[in-house]
Amino acid sequence: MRSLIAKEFRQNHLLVWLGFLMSAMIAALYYAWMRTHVETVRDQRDLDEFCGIILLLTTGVVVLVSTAGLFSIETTRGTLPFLLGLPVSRARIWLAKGLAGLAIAISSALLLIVPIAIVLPQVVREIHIWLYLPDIVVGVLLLFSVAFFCTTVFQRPISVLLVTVIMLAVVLIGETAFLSSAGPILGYDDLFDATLISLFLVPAFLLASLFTFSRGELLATRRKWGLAVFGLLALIAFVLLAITGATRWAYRYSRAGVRGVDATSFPPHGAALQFSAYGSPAPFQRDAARGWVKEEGPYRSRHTVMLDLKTARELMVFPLRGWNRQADVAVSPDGRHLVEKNPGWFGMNSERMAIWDLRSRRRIYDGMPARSRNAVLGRGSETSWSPSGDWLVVPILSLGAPVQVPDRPGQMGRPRQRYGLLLMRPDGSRHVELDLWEEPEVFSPGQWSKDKQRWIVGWAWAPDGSALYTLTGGGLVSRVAVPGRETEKVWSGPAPGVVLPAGYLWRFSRLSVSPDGRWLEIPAHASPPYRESPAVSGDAEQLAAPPLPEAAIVVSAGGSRAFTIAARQFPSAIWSPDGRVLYLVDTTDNKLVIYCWRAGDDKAVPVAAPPKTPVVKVEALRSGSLLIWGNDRTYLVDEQGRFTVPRNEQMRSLPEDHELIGVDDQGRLILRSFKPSNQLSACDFSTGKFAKLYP
Amino acid sequence: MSADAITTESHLGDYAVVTHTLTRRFGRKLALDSVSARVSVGSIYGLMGPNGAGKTTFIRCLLNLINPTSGSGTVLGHDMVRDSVAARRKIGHVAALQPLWEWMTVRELANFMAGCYPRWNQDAVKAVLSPVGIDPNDKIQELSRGQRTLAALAVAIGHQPELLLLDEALTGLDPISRREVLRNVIDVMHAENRTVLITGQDIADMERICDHVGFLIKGRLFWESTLDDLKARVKRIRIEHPGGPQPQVPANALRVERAARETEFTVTDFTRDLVESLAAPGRRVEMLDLSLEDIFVDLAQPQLAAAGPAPDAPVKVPA
Repeated sequence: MRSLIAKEFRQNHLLVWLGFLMSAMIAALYYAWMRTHVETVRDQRDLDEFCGIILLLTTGVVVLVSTAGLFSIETTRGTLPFLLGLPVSRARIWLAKGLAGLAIAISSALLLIVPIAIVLPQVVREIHIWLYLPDIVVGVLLLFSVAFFCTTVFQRPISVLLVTVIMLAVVLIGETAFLSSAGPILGYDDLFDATLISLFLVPAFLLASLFTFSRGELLATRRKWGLAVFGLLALIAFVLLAITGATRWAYRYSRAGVRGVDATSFPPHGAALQFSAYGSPAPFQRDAARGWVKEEGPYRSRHTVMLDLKTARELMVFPLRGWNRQADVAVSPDGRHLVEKNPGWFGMNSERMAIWDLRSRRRIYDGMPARSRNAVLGRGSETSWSPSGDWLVVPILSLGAPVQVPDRPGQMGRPRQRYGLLLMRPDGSRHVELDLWEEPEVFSPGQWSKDKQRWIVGWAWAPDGSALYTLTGGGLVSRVAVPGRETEKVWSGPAPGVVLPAGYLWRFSRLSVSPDGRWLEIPAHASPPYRESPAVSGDAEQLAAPPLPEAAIVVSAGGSRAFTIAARQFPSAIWSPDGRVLYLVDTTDNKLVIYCWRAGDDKAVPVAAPPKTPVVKVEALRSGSLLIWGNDRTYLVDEQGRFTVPRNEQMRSLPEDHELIGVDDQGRLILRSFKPSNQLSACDFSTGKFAKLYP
Repeated sequence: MSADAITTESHLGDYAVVTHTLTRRFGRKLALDSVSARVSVGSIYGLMGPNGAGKTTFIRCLLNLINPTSGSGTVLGHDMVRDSVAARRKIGHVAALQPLWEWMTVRELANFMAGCYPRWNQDAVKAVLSPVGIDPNDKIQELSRGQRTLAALAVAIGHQPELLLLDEALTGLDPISRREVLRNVIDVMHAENRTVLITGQDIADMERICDHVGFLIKGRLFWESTLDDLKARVKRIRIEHPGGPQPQVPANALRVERAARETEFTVTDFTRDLVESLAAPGRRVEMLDLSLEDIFVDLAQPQLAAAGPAPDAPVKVPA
């Protein structure tokens, strides 16, 4: 064995020197280039990327050259029968060749890397070679195994070189295709998965090589080919089956590399949770060549996950690739469709919207629905599905002649664009455009009435999906019968009944519908006309000024006003699950102010004796009570507006390092922990038991 | 009969090589067709056959360089497939025009080989190299074709093999070198009761050194015996019959040549009784000894003339 390895080293030592020469040449050229173009290297990233790519390429070439000839040269020169006639098993010959080849490949790679790592930083500036080492190691192993397999199959070194390159490309494309069809394997990081598959494929190629060599050497070429292909396919199939099988076995708990879980949302029934799961951060650790500097966002991958809260199993995992990692995503409540709204490059007019059929994983719509009307997708506004999943509401931003909106009366303002809504079917058919304005409107305080403020700024579906409520900035609420664009004025607001200073107006931005569909809650806030663009923070005068009044208006679905309440702070509105109680909550300044309104009453009742505690989260429980999660204590507010403490002692103080996401259909609290980070769990409020949900 | 069954036979210790219906196919081509051969320990066995007869395939099967399609065999008591590594430790092998690693010197080649075997006798290597004037420091690529064969032969006997397989190894050697090889290698092996299996086309050499012979044609071993036995059994009969009737020729007579006054033919089962049975008044029956080459030609020609795959062996004399 030792003499076999020594012989391989002696036979291939020229390749090591070749690697060294290449290294020296690259280092010299690099130095010369840096001396003359040092000013053009804008930052450290350019330097590292350039160096990393050169290292990856040259190392790959050296490994390929040094491995390709291990067996094929013996075959070509006819020395293989002599070697096989020695009293050494074929497995040992194969092992000796493999060890020697790997050692040569690694030493050649080191001869490339070490001079660059040591010498060049002294001359130019520091180079972060270590960033590329994981890439290089995985690349060397994969390339070596593929080339080693090929050299046992093909007789000519040139054939080995060509086929190795082709096979490597096929492997990488196959990995991508496999991950696309099978979904994430071990984590939400495509590159991490691809790396793991590559590492698993290394032994598959090596074993196929051993199988071919031990069983098929000196066979006729066609037979050897058959043997090799059979062995390789069988091993690769085994490897992939083993990986996917193991993953499926430990499905939800084997997710690795989940660094972020956010954008959570409950479909209306509350039985599932949709969220975005992120892979490892892009830079620094492994893939420095592509993302050392954060340009595309903090994560390398993102998947949309639909989790069944009852069984804690993933109902759906959908990868968001490339630029879609930054897309706004919404899954239809029936779980059949997913819409991606990709903002594209800023200013490049490259917005796209895609709708996927999640069962077939086919994209059934891809385009810009309002392109023909010279509009783009609106930024910052979410697309939303109707409760039945049959309709999609897409906010769009008009590209027509922008409106000149002055900051102050009598001034020419900067151009503003306006929002509208588009209703469409999941397959892109039956567009219904809502309120695309034909005429530019000019702002002036005297004219800025509710009739002029017709931009749709908020919308909400009726729980049964029969209608869409839209809200304009001026407070006009309309009901849109779906399908169709027949609109019915529901409420024209605003007038909460509070006297505002001169020039001040009530403005509106959102609305909510009670779970039973009988009531609409419309918050309003007072705004001076010149606060069209918010003042810069730090304005002492503004900071010292008292907060502007805010209001909550509740009207029935038919349009009759139920009550209006004005407060110093803008309250958040929380409906009880049955829609019979509305809690208006203000948690600012460490004060807790709660108004409780029961359906049909003509006023909201302030809840007495609020505890003085910083509030973390307020959420309505299934029982209809309101959960107040404070820093040190938890409280319940019942429908009568009374404060109580939870019966279960464990629930009287919830863990600090958790965030309450919501309440599921079983009444459990869905929590996200920060230690360990981003782990989802469910808490049964009555028993105080925690159950791990994800990952 | 399996190899295990063969090895349990008590007399197998006398054989360095035993094969049982060894068959090897290359696609449609039948390279070895149920070869059952036995090579006695201490013998110098000449395996003869025309080009493409399957001699190299047979040797490669013995070394397990290629697997037999069917059949089995033992080499020096080891199953030639399952225990081939142990067998190869005791085997020296030299093939015709065997390529070697040209970047090595002869000494490096010997050192490399020494590392592959449990024991090594450098003197045995020198004993081959010195008489033919090969410097151990010469690189392989600097040697002539014959010298390379000699170098391969030298390193093939360094571990003092119990069985030496020479596959056309003497081909291309000059007479002096060949004589040195015969003297320094084969005679030494024979004297030490070690076995040599040699293939080649130079039948004169084979006749001079071999004590056992086997004829392989179209993958079939159709004759295997000691050389003496072969020569004793295969004779040329000449019958002079001036004016008399043509004599009756035995049915299995080979290369029958009839003339007006005499008839000649070759028999493969010669006995004195045959001569007496052919004798008649007015006839003169003469028994002629044949050289190994003549015997080979007489026996091989009918086999080669037969179309298609190898016919059934006409004669099979157990050793």
